[in-house]
This record gives sequence, structure tokens and C-alpha cells, in this order.
Amino acid sequence: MMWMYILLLAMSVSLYVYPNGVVPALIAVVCGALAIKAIKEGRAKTRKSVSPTVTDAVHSGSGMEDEANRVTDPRLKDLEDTIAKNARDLQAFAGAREEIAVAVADFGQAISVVESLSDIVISKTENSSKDLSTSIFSISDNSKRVTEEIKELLIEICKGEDSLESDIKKLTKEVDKLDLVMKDFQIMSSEYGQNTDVLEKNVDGISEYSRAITDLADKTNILAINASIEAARAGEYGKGFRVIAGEVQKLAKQSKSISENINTSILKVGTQLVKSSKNHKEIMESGVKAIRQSQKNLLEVTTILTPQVALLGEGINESETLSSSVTADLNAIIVSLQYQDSIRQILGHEINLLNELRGIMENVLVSSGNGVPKTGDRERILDLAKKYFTVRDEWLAFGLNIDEGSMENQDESLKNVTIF
Amino acid sequence: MTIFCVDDSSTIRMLVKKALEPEGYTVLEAENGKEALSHKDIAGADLFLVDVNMPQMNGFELVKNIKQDTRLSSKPVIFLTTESALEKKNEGKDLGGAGWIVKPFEPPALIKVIKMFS
Repeated sequence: MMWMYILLLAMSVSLYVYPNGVVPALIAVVCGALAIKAIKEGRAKTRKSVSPTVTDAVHSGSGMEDEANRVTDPRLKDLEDTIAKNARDLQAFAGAREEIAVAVADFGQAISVVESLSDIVISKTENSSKDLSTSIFSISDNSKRVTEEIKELLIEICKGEDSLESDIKKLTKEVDKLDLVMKDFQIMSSEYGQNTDVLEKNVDGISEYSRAITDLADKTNILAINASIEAARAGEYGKGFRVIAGEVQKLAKQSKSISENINTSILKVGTQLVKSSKNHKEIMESGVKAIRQSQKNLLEVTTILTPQVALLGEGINESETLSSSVTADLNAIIVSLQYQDSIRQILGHEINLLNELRGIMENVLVSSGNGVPKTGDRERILDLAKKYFTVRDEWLAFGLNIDEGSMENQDESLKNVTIF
Repeated sequence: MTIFCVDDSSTIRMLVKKALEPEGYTVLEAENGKEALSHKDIAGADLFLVDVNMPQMNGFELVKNIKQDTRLSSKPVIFLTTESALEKKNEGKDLGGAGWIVKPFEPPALIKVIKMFS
């Protein structure tokens, strides 16, 4: 049985030395308990095997008889060997039990070390979560603010009285109005052309009248000349008539002169009016052409702007979608960050479980007659733990010195940097 | 509406705050039951969000105190905890709790629950 006890003890100690979680600790406890149980059973067996026969034999006779019996009775010799062996075993068991007690005590210290390390994990993850949360919420707030501003801008551009959309509608109305103005101009231009034609005809008509008056004056003049001739033939009697004929001739000449002046003036005015009308017509036609071009340009602008405004409208919807998406992502992040709290609690539960196991182990040792539980050697445990330390905070948590070499950088941002 | 969040995790308190403040809620904070009861503005709270497992005074103890305080007894208490066992939930209910949310909470769900008591 001895080999088994040693094996069990070795397992307990080895598992204690490498306390890598709850399961090895449990195995350690079970092995330790089994070892102690085996020790107790061994002691009981030893007592049982020794009690009836050996004590009887030892106390049954005097010295000489005993010696004789010992020599003659091989069974007694065997019993003595057994007693001696059991005594050695008991001594070994007592040593093993002592070692287990020390191991359990050290296990207690190891739990304390693990607890300190867990505190680091909790503290670090909590701080990290908080920093991360702060940054994420800051990003989210900025993102929301920018999205809101973009949305407001887009709404301002696309909707409301002063929006681009409204301006485009106004522009379209103006284009329609221009169309009306242009039509009016076309009608006016056409009427102006017709009036010019009428004017030209009227001027021509007046010229005709003027020529007729001139002809009439010429004829009157000829008539007056003939009357003068006839008055001369009549001699003294035609003297008065000759004066009248002379006056008629003068009137005919004046009429002709006036008619010619009128004709000249009317022709001059008429020509001027026709010329002016033509100019006006050209200007109006040019205006209509310019309006038509403006109308075309405005139509092009509205044609370009209308889909752009529609796109901006889609931009509003997209910004709303983006905002919703940010909110959804943020909610997912909030959920994820809460697992830190769960981790903290789970680590606490592990420590509690380990402490409870230590209590069980101590109780087993006490009940097996090992007396008051011992206090483990913290320094030795820390020496063991240090073998696995890789993080600065692990050393710092136990006030241990860590040689990090020279990292004396003047630049604060390079405080963790070592340049080789 | 003022929500009093009592949780030993500062991260959780911050997350609750970030989830509720944009919705127009004012959030008061305390690390545990004891700190909550000594908070100067506790009487102004309209609803309590309480964790169960906390040092010094746990959530159940806090709720017992709240329910004994005439100023606070009518205020709804919602447990916000990692605990999900029915036994614990029943304990919370028997103490006068109005609801039980298992962490991790989703902000829309938390807001919806709080609105039930608004």
C-alpha cells in the first residue's frame, strides 16, 4: 500500500504546485483526501494486526521464556518484523501527512496569490472597459452630432420655404412666366411688323395724294396760263381776269410747292418710322431670342438640379439609416461591455470555490489528527508564482521588484520603449 | 424621470447612464446598497435599478430597506443582475421587486421596461 500512498501524495503535491484552475485543485483535494484516508486505514490495520497476538505474546511470559519463544516460534519473529515494518510505515505516513498539511497550507497561500492576480484582472478589465466605453461613446456622440448636422443641412437644402427644392420650383414657375412673356413679345413683334406695313402703305398713300395735289397744281397752273392768254386776247376787258389768272397761277405754284414739301416731309417721316419700326422689330426679335435662350438655360438648370435635390433627399434617408445603424452598433457594444462584469463575478466565484476546497482540505487534515491548520509559506509560493509572471502588474501587485533594464526616455510617450 | 442605478461595477453604471440619458432620464449612481441609502438625493429617485451581488450591502438587503422607508416604498425596483435562477427571482419578487433583468441588458429592452413604470 505504501506505493499508493506515495503516489497519491505526489499527485497532490504536483497538482498543488501547478494550480492551473479549479479542476487540478479538485483532483489535488481528492488525492489528498484519499491519501489521508489510506493513512488512517493503514494505522487502523496496524493496530488491529498488532493488538491481539503480539501484546498477548509480549505480556504472557517472563524474559527467558520470551527469548526462547522468540527463537523457537517463527510466527513471533514474523510478527515482530511486521510490527517493525508497520512502525516504519507509520513514521513515513506521519511524514507524508505533515507534508500534505504543509501543501494544503501553501495551497491556501496560493489561493491568496491567485486572488490578488484576479484582482488585477478585474481592475484592468474594468478600467479598460471604462476607457473603451468612454471612447466609443465619444465617437458615437460625435458621429451622431455630425450626422444630425448633415441631416439638418440636407433638410434645409431639400425642404422648406428657403430650400433648394423650393427655389427650383420658383425657377420653374419663372420659366413658365418667361414663356408667356416670350409669347407676348412674339405677338407684339408680329403686330409691330403688321403696323409697320400699314404705316408704309399709308405713307405711300399720302405720297400718292401729294403727287395728285402736285398734278392738280400743275393743271391749275396751265389753266391759269391759258386764262391769262385768253385774258390778254380780250384786251382791256380781260385785264381784271388776267390779274385773277395770275393769282390762280401763283396759288397753283404755292399749292405745288406745299404739296412737294408735304410729300418730302411725309416720305422723310415715313422712311424714318419704317426704319425705326424695323429696328424695334429686330430688337424685339433679339429679345425674344434672348428670352428663349434664358428659358432654355433655366430649364437645363432645373433639369440638372431636380435629380440632385432628389439625391439629397435620399441622402437624408441615408443619414437617418446611418444614425440608426450607429445606435444599433452602440447597443451591441453596450451588451458586449457588460460581459466584463460577468468575468469579474466568475473570477470571484472561482476564488470562493478554491477557498472552500482549502477549508475542506484543512478539515480533513484536522480530523485526521493533524491539529490546527498551518499557515503557508507565502514567500515560497510567490517564488513559485514568479516563474510564470510576464506582466509588469503581476510583480507590482506583490510589491516585487522587476528588472526592466534602462527605460529612461525624456519623451513621456516613449516611457515603455527600450531602444537597443 | 430619475433612475437610481445601484451596481458595484462602474462600467455597468456608466452603460446604464449612456443608455438612459439620451432618452431624457436622469441617472443617479451608487456602488452598493449602503452607499445608495446614504445618497442625499435618494428620495428624488422615481425608479431603482439594483444589482443583486454587491459588497457591503447586497441588492436584496437594499430592497428590504427601500420597502421599509415610507418615502421610497412605492417606488418600483427592478433588479439588474447576472443572476438568472428562478429561486433568486422569486426572492426578489417576494421582497417587493417590480422586475428582473438579466445582464447583459440591451438598451432598448431596458428603456422599454423603464417606460412600463413611467
